[in-house]
Order: sequence, then C-alpha cells, then structure tokens
Amino acid sequence: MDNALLIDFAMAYHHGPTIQAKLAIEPSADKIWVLFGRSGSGKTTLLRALAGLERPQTGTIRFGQARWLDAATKTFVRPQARNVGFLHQHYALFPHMSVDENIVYGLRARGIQAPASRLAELKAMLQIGELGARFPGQISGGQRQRVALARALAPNPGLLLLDEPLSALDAAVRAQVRRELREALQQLDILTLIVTHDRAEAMTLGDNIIVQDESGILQLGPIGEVFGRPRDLATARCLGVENLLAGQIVEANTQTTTVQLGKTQLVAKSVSNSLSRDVWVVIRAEYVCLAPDTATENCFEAPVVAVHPEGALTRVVLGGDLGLVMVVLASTGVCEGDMVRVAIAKEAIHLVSAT
Amino acid sequence: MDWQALILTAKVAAWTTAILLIIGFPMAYWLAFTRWRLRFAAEALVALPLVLPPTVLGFYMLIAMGPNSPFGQAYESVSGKLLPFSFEGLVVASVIYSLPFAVQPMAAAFAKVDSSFIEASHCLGASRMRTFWKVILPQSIGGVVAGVVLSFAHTLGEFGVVLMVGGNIPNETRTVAISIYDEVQALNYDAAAQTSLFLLAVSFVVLALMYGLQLKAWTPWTMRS
Repeated sequence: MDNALLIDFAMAYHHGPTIQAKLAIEPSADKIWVLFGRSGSGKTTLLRALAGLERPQTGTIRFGQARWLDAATKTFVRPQARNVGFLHQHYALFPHMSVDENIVYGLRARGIQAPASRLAELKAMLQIGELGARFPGQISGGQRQRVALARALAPNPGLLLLDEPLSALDAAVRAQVRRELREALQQLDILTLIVTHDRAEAMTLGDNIIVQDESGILQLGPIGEVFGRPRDLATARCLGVENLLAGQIVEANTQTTTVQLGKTQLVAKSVSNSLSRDVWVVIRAEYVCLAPDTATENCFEAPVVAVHPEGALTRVVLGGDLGLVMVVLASTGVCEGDMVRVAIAKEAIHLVSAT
Repeated sequence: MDWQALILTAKVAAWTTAILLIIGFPMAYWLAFTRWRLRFAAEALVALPLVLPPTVLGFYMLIAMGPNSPFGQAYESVSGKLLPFSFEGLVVASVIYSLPFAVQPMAAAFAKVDSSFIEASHCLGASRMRTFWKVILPQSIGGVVAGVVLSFAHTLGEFGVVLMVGGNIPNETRTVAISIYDEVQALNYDAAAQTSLFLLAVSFVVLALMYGLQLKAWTPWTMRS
C-alpha cells in the first residue's frame, strides 16, 4: 500500500538557524527521491525529522494514516514506532557485532527470533552473502554501505532515508557504488529519500528531486524536468546551473521567444506565456555545444578564456559578449586563446521571470 | 599482618563496588545523556567527594546517619540497629565516598559512544534499555571496568571517612588503613610495614591490570586510523 508523505514544519536550533520545510509527496511509481541542496540548507534536518531523530517545535508530519508529528497537540511518534529505515552518512554499523548480527538487529529488537530466511534473502539481494561472519572493520566501504542497507531493510520499513550515502567512500569507488546503489534501490518498492549535494549523485540515484535551500523547499518534481526547467533564479542557482544571464524579451510568439542579451540575441522555444519582460536566461553548460559550420540557430563565435580539465570532460570558460561556460569532451582539444564557434539548441534555453 | 582487618576491608570494598555498579549505571547514563540545563550542578555534586576532606564528608554522613536524622531513624525502625559505627554504615559511607570514581569513568565512556550508533538502534526499533545493553555498554566496557576497579581500589584505602563514621571496632569497622595507623601509634613498625606493602602491591596490581585491559579494550573501527 502506498502512503502519501505530508511535511510542514519549522525547526529552530538553539543559537542557530531555523529550518523550514513544506512539501507533499504523493504515492507514485517513481519512488526514489533526492533531497538536494547546499550544505546548511536543512536537508539533513528534514531527513532526521522524518526519522524522529529531531523534533521540530512547530508543524506536522504525516505518513499515510499515521501522524508522526503534530506540534499543536504535542503528538510525537518515537523513532522506534515509525518503522523507518535510516542510513547514517558513515553507516553506523555496530562495530562489536558481525555483519549478520548487524543485519538481524532490527528483527531481534522487534522480537522476531528466527530471521534466517530473511537474512539469507537480504544478503542475496545485496550480494553480501559471503560477509556474514566478518566485522564492519574488516570489510570495504562499499560493502559497509550494503550491509547498512540490508540492516535498514530487514524490518521492512515503510520509508527509507539515506543521508549522503556515498560521502564516506573513496572517490575511486564512488561512481560504481552509486550505480550499484541505484540498482539495489530500484529492486525495492519503498518510498526512498536520499540527501545529497552532488549533482552527479542526484542524477544517477533519483527519479525525482526536491530542491531545498535556507528559505525552504524551492521546487520538486521529476529530476530531468527540474534540472531542465528550474522554476526561478534561486532554484537554478541552487542546482548549480552554470549559465545565468539577465536579458529582455524582444519578441515572443507561440513557437519561439527572442531574448536580447547585450548585443546578442538568443532564440528560445516558447514554453510559458506568463513571463515578465525582464528574464533570466538559464543554460546548462553541457548544452552549449561546439557548432559545425553549417549550424545557424543561436550560433556565434567566442574566444576561450580559460580551460579546466575534469578528466573525460573539459570545462571551458568563454569570453565575448555572454561569457558562457561550456563542457566539452576532453578529446576535442580546445585550448586557451582559441576562437570557437558554439551553438545552443533553442530547447536548451530556459527562461524564468526576473521579478 | 592483620588478616581480620584485611578481610573486613575486602568485604567493605566488594559491597561498595557492587552497590556502586548498580546505582552508578543509571547515574552515569543520566549524566552522559541528559540535556538538563543544570546538569553541571549534578556533575559537581557527584564530584564533590573528590575534593572534600574525608573528615568533612565523614562528619556530614555521621550527622545524616545519626539517630536524630530522618534517614538514621528510618534505618533504625527497619533494622532495629543504628547505622553509625556499624559495618552497614561503613558501606553506605564508602558508597558516597567512592561515587565519583565509579560514575565519572562510566559516564565518560557512555558519552563517548557515537550518537549515530544510538540513533541507528532507535530507528531499528530497539528501546532505550535494549540500546543501552546491546550498543552502548559493549562499546563502553572499558569505562565500566575502570569505574569498578577504581571504586574497589579507592575503597580499600579509605581512612578519614572510616574513622569518622565507623570508628575502630575489630571485625566490624576496623579496616586496614586504620589498622596500619594503630600499629604505627603502637610503634609496631614491622607490622605496619607488612600491611602497607601488601596494600601497595594489591593497589598496583589492580591498577596495572586495569590499564592493561583498557589498552586492549575494544575501540570502534571508526576511531582507528
């Protein structure tokens, strides 16, 4: 049975910030949600409040029929009674217990004495069958993550919460563990919230995304849609979109909208007709492309000001009128001082009102 | 050597340690995890026997146990005996006297357990009690052992409080420290030296054992470099 998650609370820290969160997650087939934001934006507070590890002073949290928090009636359901799976950043595996003992801990705590079949099932699913007798100190970071996931899943939680699940791992294994984690989570049919501040992590792991900053929840929805069409400037900034340019609409029809940026005009596909005249032009770096000579749409030449190699990709800072940032394959061999011809598809140009 | 005094002292120390283990656990747990604003006051109260002259402590306890105090009267009506200058009175006094030696290492060890372990346990459905026995205690066993050993060793050597509360009754309140004092007063330096050496050896062995165990005591892998 699917449950809706309704959150609306404010939590004030003593001598610290006040974290606000208001959102509703309706039941859907895409159950993996990423909670995205900079550090200090309150994502971990939100996750901990869902687990019952923090108690916000005001507001409500409801999961299905259960009322986990209602400050007005002083209702607060303890973590023990929420049946939520929570994965700490460093997994918090009990170091004095073997892998098997860790996994069955939640079952034993609930008085289930013979969890052998469940244990075998979990270990098979997460491919940790051979680790049972070892201790957390004797296995790798990726294996620890799987064991922690198995432990959290053992009591069949209704909600799974992961706090920066990859931050404890070495960079070398992170990409692989990320894909494996996605596969493991996809096998489950549990509403899952994953806190991250890493774009690549968010895109690999999530179906949906919740964007949060200090002021609260900025936007939520399918991950491609939110990254492609952030609702406003603050959301685009929070998502780390590289190119945010102020412009003015000079012409708009049902097909295209033309924006003046200094001396340059860009043509965007018309999506919304409720834009103000002053707009922000939002373009992701990966959509600024090196153009073939035949290209005409949103096409111009610009000098290369700086080049930042990032492994397979290279981040290129352009000069000229717009000062765009683009990402190209390292194999294109773009160098500082080159003149390059770039093009931007009109579908990749997203406009948000400036007011 | 005054075997009678030695055996009596061991009995006092054993009883004191056992009682401290029982009342020390909840006190240490509370001190380690409470968010009460006045926790510092409770900590100061527990630490008081560390700095108070034993005679001062003994004096107040003598008053508190006496037949004019509610506590003394309650004890008398239940047991029909008076608490001061009795074995039981000595144990009560020793418990108070050694309280910080039991509670402080235990509380420090409990507080050192990473809160994420405790939270993980709660999220997995374990009660606070279960979390204590299964997660907190196994990770702080070194501190508990230290608390037990220190209270035992500390009780072995107490003098001032015993003198004030227990007096010097053979086989009832005459502990080794008193016995040594008596021997010195009587100029029996040989006997005093024997008992002193024995006490010194026992104290050293007990402490060495504790530090040896402590080193091997289990430390979480997250804290290993």
